[in-house]
Amino acid sequence: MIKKLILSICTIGLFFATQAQDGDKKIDKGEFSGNFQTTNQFYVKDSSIGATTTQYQKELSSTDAWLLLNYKVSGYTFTVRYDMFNNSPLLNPQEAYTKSGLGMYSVRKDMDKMSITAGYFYDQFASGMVFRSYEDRNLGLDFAIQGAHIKYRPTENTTIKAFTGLQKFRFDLRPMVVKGVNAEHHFDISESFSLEPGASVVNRTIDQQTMNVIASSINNYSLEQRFYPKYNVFVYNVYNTLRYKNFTWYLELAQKTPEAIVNPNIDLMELQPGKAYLTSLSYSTKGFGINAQYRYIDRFSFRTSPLENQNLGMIAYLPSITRQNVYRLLARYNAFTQEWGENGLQVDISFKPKALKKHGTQFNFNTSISTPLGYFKGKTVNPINFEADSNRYFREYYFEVQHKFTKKFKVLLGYQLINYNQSLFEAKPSVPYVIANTVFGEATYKITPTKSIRIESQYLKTEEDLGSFVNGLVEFNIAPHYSFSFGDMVNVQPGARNKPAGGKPFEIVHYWNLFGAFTQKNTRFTAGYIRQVEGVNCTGGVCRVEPAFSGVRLTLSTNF
Amino acid sequence: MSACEEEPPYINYAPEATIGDTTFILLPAPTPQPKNVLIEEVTGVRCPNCPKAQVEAKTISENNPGRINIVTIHPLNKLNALTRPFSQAVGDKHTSLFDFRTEPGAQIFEMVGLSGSLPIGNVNRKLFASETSRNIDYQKWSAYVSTEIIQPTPVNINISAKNLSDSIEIEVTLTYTEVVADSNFLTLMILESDMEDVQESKDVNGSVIYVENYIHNHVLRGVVTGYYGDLLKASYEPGRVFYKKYRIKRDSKWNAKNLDALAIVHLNTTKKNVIHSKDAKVQ
Repeated sequence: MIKKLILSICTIGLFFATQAQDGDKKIDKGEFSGNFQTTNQFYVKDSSIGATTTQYQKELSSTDAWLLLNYKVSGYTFTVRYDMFNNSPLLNPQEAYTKSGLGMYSVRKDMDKMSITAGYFYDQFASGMVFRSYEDRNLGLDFAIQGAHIKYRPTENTTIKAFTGLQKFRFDLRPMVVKGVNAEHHFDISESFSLEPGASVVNRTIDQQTMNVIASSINNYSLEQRFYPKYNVFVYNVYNTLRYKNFTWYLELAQKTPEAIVNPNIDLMELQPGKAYLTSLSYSTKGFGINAQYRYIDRFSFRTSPLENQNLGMIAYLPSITRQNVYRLLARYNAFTQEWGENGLQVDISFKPKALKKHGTQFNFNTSISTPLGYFKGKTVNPINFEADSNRYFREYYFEVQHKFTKKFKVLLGYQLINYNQSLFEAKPSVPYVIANTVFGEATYKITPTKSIRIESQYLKTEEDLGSFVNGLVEFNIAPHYSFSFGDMVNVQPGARNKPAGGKPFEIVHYWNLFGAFTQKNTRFTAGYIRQVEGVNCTGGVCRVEPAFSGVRLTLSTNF
Repeated sequence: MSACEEEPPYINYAPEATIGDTTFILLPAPTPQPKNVLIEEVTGVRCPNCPKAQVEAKTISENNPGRINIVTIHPLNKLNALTRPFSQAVGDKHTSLFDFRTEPGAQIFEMVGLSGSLPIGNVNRKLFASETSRNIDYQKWSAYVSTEIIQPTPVNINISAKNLSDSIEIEVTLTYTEVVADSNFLTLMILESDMEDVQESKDVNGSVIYVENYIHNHVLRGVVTGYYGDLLKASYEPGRVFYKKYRIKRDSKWNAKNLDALAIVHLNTTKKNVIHSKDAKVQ
């Protein structure tokens, strides 16, 4: 079946290439492009850090690979992607998943004002709160929709999109039909004032098989907890981006009709409508920028079915409203979005003093907070209250300053304070609330125009979780081909979760890594020996709990 | 707007029929019972070919005495042209005495696998290797029964039922003799036999006839637990006993003397397979 499909797509592609040559008497060979990416891991069992999943016990190695091919000719775009997972923990860290085949394929025709796609496609409406179909390989997510997609632009400023299809799940499709329509228009009121309003409606219909499971679960509830679940749910939004001089204000209001969703407090489904509101206001001028973002979520879980949880079957995209950190220890604690109910606020300020312009000095400040509904008040949000508060799901204060001392030498210094409800985010009952203070720094020195050395370091101090850590990294770069680094993250003091029992001394644990990369034009090969602590991995705004890793990791990526 | 309203799935709002419910371990585990095979045949009074399927089910039962449980399902609001009772008021030549159709029957038909034609039926609600549906043609039942009947069952069923003044009381004891990993469910049905009523059929020449004194047996009259079954909430290990006692109001249209209670232990509504079944006359 798959072979036939690939053959058909290639044949259609060749047919149009030939047609173009014959018809126009021009040689239109089209444009061919693609990319390849692979990650290969070799596992070294290490029970001292909890690296004991199935790959450490049995399979000992795993490979993930993706080959994407694009061919464009005469307004047509043919896309095929081959995916391979061998003993892979990527899709489920507790599983060794093996399967390969056609991961996606599509044919798109671009016309004057319209484009039509059949096959798999990725798209989103507004911020994605009502619909986002996307891929994030690092997290093993692929929410492609297989179906038909139309984009129509009747005028330069108007876009109308519509689609229907089924969501991809591994190499299969989920049986629930998803369809939607979106329209937006750009108004230029004056040179410095514009509006960009839009609206969308998305519908999902549950299949009979899944409904049978939902209904039989409900039928096992006590009589007063039973309800009639809905096959159809409609999610709709209105939104607008207003730009006035240096200000930008975005507002999105989304609601959904009642459907069965799981109440995490009692672990039972309930028939609930939902709403989510998102607004952001930003101002930027030379040397100064501020952005404030607020999001309100009230029972707004929109997935292929209420039986899906975590990162499965997501139709609505509700990324964490908190800052995505890069440094290893700063990114140790991350906040999942709470679909059942959450108030989230983030403020980001950057400032470049004129007086220090020649040093490229920049101050960045970020703070974010997430609370349950009804708790966005009082001591929970009091910015100078530093007590543990489980209703303060997450709070971060982040401050950094960058300064270039000379053309060859620059430094970054910063401080981070995290409040983290670990029991909620990592589903670990009875672990204490985490308060972590981290100081961090980075220095880069250019030895020659092609050689540079970068040193980074962080010290995270906490009494909770696994305790305090120090992380250091030295990186040596020889542009444009080579990069080498050595780092070590050391668990210097135990926390509430790893305190030795019976007065035994704490054994210091090292999470060291050795890394090398070679880059040749569009191709990059990396090799590393890594010991990685368990934690929450967040990429692109979506997070998942990942077990510890110990072993060798080889990657190769190339574009052509 | 009301035309746009969707029809919800079956949710049981009937008052709880369970009056006794307990579980415990009793060792040593008893000797396993031989596995009974369930045949659920979906039928209709206007279906002229359906009596043949009922004859086939009866023959299979007679060839395997005490090992076959037959349930005759007349689904409500499914394939109405074949299942609707006769009525002279709408121009039929006959009027049915009974309406055998039930909502749980329709739910079971839908859960196991809808079909556009009758007769159809399943053997232990199982999807056999060479089949595309669990509900299959009656001519295949015999072969699949012979493969199912030699399988062991990990659970013993003991059932008894009695008529009270206006209700039926059923006691079921399930005893596991092996470890089972999948979730198990218990469905309890009330069946009625010896009901004389009109049935469309065919004579030896293949012409359609109406048999006014046709005897309808094993007709599904009600489901005590809900068609999806009651989840058996404990680990399934040798010696595990579930004792359940149910009481339901007896429908005035049922003949108290001709009722049977049938207990079915099965997997969930996705996996569906029946593990064992056992019936008892309602005394």
